Amino acid sequence: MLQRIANGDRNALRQLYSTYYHPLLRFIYRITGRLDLAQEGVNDVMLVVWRNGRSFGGRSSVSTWIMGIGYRKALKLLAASRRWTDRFAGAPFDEIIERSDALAEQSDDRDLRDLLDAALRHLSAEHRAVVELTYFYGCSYEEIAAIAACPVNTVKTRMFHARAKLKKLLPALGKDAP
Amino acid sequence: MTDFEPLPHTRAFELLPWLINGTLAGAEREAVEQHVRACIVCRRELKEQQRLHASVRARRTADVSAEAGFDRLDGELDSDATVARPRWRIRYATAAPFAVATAAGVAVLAVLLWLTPLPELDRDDYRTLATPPADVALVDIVFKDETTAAEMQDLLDAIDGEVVAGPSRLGRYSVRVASDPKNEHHVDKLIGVLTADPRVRFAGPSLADVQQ
Repeated sequence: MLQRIANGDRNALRQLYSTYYHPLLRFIYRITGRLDLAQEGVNDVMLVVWRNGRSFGGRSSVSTWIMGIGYRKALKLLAASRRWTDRFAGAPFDEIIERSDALAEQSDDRDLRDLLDAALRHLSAEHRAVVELTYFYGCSYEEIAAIAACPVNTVKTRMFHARAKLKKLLPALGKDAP
Repeated sequence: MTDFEPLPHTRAFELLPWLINGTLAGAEREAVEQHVRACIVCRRELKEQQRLHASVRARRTADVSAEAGFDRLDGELDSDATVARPRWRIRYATAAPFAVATAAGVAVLAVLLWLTPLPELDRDDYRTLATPPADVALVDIVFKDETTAAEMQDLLDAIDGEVVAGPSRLGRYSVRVASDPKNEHHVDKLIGVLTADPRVRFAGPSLADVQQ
């Protein structure tokens, strides 16, 4: 399909777009926290694929290559938007911990997901990406290293620190469900 | 008998997420599983991470149509995307106070604007790309200090305008608007409306048009 796209086949591009739209949208949204940036990011990624399809060297799978482009676009979009405002001030750190402690008494998974959204915003974009790629996309640490263009040990370290921070922010994670 | 080395606790502990998502394989997986069976700390961590895994997987993203997104991309490819898209809409969307700060100058601003060329408009390549066809005109707009980015966008939407350059150092935007070729006063009227708008400090024919 990449060959067809490289040859200017718009129908092939449409197929690829349709396949990757939602995974990319979610991924970029999870990194940037903004749907408008995510929509912009998806089209930026597809523009790169359209223009540079021939440069795909086959060293990884197509999906890893595309998610890698998405990762870099997401970080760039986030950096650009943060030059002007801090989108991730979010709920105060203490407030999340307090609410999570209270939640531990109730063990409501839906509330936990809401708190998780807030807690993830306190992680760096790189750490959020590793959590998302591991737990939502089911990527191996080697695949994540290829996407983020970093050593596998860096992936493991990022995940380790992300887990530690989430554990502090969400004590409810450690409580047993009733 | 096993064909793998026992893992140190720290290595097994850091690999738990990939045991949970099922991507560990072979000897590495067996080594982690063996460690977890014997380590109460890792068993507790495994349970917590399984809960985190389930919560992350359960998070939903807004259901947005791929079709509309592709149509935008398709349009961009048609126009070859050589004219810069007005990304300020995105980047400045939540930065009204900063955008306002760029709209410097008070009483003498309008005069200064006419004397200060827009760098974007002076480039030959810009002229080539942005020279408007008969049914399109360029106008310059300076918004008032207190005008927020959202209000700017509302006004642009109302006149169906698109920013093609700016802001200049003095806060001037060059905006492409539809023009009625059968009505030579159409743009003048639009400029009159803009000038009267409480969100606008200044509106006038674009320097790009004036200088041609």
